[in-house]
Amino acid sequence: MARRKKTAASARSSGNRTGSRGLRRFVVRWGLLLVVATILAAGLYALYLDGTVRAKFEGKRWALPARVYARPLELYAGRPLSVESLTGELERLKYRRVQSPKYAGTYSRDGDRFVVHTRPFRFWDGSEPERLLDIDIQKGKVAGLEDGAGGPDPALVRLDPVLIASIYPTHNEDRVLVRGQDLPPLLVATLLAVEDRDFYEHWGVNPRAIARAVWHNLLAGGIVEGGSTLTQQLVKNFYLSDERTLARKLNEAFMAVLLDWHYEKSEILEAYANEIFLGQDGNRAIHGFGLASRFYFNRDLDELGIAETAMLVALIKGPSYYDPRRHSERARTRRNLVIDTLRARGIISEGQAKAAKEAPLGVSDQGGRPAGAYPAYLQLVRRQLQRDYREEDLRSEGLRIFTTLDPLVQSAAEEAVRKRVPELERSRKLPSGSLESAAVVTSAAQGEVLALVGGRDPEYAGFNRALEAVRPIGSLIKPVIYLTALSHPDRYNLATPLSDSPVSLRTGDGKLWRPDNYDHKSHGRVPLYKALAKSYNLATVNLGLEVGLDEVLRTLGNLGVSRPVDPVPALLLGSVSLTPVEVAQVYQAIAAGGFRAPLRSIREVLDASGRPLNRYPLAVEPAADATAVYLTTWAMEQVVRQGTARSLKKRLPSGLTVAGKTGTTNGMRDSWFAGFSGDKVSVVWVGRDDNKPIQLSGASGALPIWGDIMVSVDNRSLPELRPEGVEDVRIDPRNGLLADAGCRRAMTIPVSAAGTPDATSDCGRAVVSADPKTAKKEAGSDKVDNKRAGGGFGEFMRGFFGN
Amino acid sequence: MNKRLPILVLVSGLAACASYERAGPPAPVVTAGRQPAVQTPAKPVQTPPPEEKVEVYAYRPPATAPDAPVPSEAAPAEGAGNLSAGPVSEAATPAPGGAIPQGTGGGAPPSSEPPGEKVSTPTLTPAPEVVVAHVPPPPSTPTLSPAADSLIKKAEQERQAGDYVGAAATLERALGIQPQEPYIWNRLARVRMEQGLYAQAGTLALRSNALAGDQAVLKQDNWRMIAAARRAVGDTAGAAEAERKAQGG
Repeated sequence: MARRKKTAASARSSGNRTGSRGLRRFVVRWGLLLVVATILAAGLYALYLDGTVRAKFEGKRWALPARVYARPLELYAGRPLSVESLTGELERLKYRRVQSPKYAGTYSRDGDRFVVHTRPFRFWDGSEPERLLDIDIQKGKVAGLEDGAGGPDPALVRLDPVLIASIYPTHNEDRVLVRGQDLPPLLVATLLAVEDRDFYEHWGVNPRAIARAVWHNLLAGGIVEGGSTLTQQLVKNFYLSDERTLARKLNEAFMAVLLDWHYEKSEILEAYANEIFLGQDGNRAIHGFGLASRFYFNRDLDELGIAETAMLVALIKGPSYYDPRRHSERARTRRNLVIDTLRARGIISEGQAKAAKEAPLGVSDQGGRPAGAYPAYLQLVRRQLQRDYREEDLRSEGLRIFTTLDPLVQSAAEEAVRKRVPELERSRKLPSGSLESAAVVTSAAQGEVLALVGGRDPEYAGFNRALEAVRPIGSLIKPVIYLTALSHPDRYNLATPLSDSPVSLRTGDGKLWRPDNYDHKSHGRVPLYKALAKSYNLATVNLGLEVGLDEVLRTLGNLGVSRPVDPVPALLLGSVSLTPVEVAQVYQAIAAGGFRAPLRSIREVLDASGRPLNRYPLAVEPAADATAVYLTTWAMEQVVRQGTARSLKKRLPSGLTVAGKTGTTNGMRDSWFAGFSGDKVSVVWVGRDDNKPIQLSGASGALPIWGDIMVSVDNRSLPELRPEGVEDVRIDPRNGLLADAGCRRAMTIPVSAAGTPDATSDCGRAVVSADPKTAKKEAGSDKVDNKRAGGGFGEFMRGFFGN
Repeated sequence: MNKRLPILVLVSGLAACASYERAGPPAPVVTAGRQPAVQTPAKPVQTPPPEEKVEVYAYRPPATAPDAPVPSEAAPAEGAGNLSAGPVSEAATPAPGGAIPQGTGGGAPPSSEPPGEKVSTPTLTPAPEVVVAHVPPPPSTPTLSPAADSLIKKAEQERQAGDYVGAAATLERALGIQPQEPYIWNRLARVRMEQGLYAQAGTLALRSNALAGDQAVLKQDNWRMIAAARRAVGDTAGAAEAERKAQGG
């Protein structure tokens, strides 16, 4: 029993000893496991962070916005260009006016003589080098173009194109990338001196700097210094959000170490210089020194002096707080602090520091968003881009898009609309703001869209009427009908008498359609050209029915209309509904002699490094017979000379011939004018969005705006060149037959060889009749044509002044 | 187990601390992930740009539904087609005809038809090649302004070098300066001819004729091109008529 007790006792004591040892072992084992787990977890997390850091640094770093450019201004001797136009373009290009243009992007002006230091630009088809240009403008033309540096005079120079828009990435950041080697040494020195003194020595995190900052902050009683390295700041901006939690700080430190481990200091510096947030421009965030330098000072980074460089670095601490435009005093104080730091570090001399501190802030007004908004034009550009590019590509690949926009023409169009629409509204006592307008200007030969105005307020990016407002075109259809007729020269020429007499048709739904002339009169037999010039509805309907609706529609399709059209007789008076851009396409085909060029607004697209991706070339389709088009154009010239648009005549510069057509719809709800000179086609529409009557005809509404535009831009006259086989011929306008010398009412018209009338009128001989009774009877026989009877003199005077 | 644990820790620790080789170069600043621009040699204007990247096709206006580009007008494909000499009666001088494929016209994208196909359709012979080979460009007209003239010279150089897309771009620029000058339209027609865009070439030559007035030499060149273009698309009657007009008939 004692042995058993002993055993039990010993057993108990040994069990106790095992228990404490077991506990220790337990603690050690689980502690070790915990440590291992922690290390593993940390290691895995480190791997994850490492992957993140590298992926972004080595992958696609920044989504670059697409840049959209207007057409470059081409300068050559003899080019029509006014001083105002050149100045306007230089201002849009943000060229600074200086005394002596030393840097690219500057110009000097002495009266009509400009010395422009152009910026180099890499176009699709080659580079335009940096140049010193001596431009002499006289009488609205470029009189001389010389090389200011004494080299050979260039025959043709392109200025860099105006940047009209950037299509931003969805986060709305914008930057101009600067390579590490292109960073000015002064900027780098300033940056390091202020933000991270031991940048090249530390390993991502700088404990000494942190300790120093803590010490200074304690001394100062607030936050006066930060201990973050550039690397840490880069991590914060590049990878992380802006929270200020401890967890984020730790993450930041960790990633900074990893970043520093993997990459060279120079690479980190380069990334920093392009990432740092330096300001806000509306909803566009300014990142990187390259863009900041342009945004604040309208200069490139390498043009900045000590004061400006110090200002940029000063902004890092708080771009909004130290915004030099809004808080100039604070900005100046901080800038001077930076300059003092530079002085203290021996980077600049005492004299330089003093001069820099006294210098003004130097902030420019011009560095903001691209010149002019052009939202309507951009909508057209986007529409055409969407065919070939996805939205993500547009926003991120840094594409460079070269458009056909001509800022000179665009501003003329915008000005005309802005000025006239309120005047027209007042003149007809319409509710304020109800009258709207749209305008399109294209080049005649190539169909390039030069200007687009989508509404009475061109800056407003809303409903784009030029692209989207589908409205009945009214009499704008008439040239198409006449063109169709003139394509049959054996049946119709410009003098063929048409019957301007009442017509009534039973339409498909049983109703009776009885069109009428604008002045509610019938004019009897009228020559074809006159029916177009005066826009006689009845004559046109009769002609259109004779020619056939199918043919008219076919012509319309050939001229570029793809919208389906209801084949009813009312289409002859323009129940066809089109957008202004579609009308412009039709009139471009006519203006180009029957050679339709599909309208385009983009010339080419390059990638971010300037390599060509896409080119949109000129493509020409034969749309109509050249001779018929020539004759139709002649008739449309009469619209301006003696027809419904004759109020335009006195406004145009002498020697400029234009052709066009007024358009007014039923109930005067739409007012149109579409016309062209030798090199430009322009279409203007005026109306109300709610389609209520506006009491304006084509001549009283759209025509003044059209005139304003055409008068403000440079135009070539219509070519006088005739197609083969077209000759001038004297005819009798009363019957369309040839007239001999004795015919006093004869007029000269062009006819094609196949369209020459074969019979001669007896008008020259009719006057010879001695019998007064017969003479009077003959004189009065066509009384329907004109109220005032009379012989040759009356005809002559009427022909001179128009009917 | 107690012995293996520290070894496990050591091994995993080593693995975690091992530095990883960078997978590739860091993203260059300018091109954000693509080939850095500095590696691309600066191109002088004369040499043709990389054609395979450039797509040239007839533009569609916004009103039409987006659809594929008109296949017949796809430029580079035709460039390869020109290579194959079909049975041609006239001695096809190889020099200019041969020079063309060495330009970037030969670097056609995979979508081009194989030359074999072209041989079997004799209508698509390089008869236009013959026209190109024998007829020098008509003399430059005095109505050209110096600016347009410099562009035409540049375009001519580009055309000789085989850079058709560049030549067309330069000529379009010249047209912006003098849109009613028939000589420029004629040159553009020639470029389209050499690209194999016969329909376009014919239309542009017609356009040139409409503006040419009584410039007989220019008109003759235009009619010859129209004839060749019509022949190339199989319109023999039209080609004959154009030939007649070229002779002055």
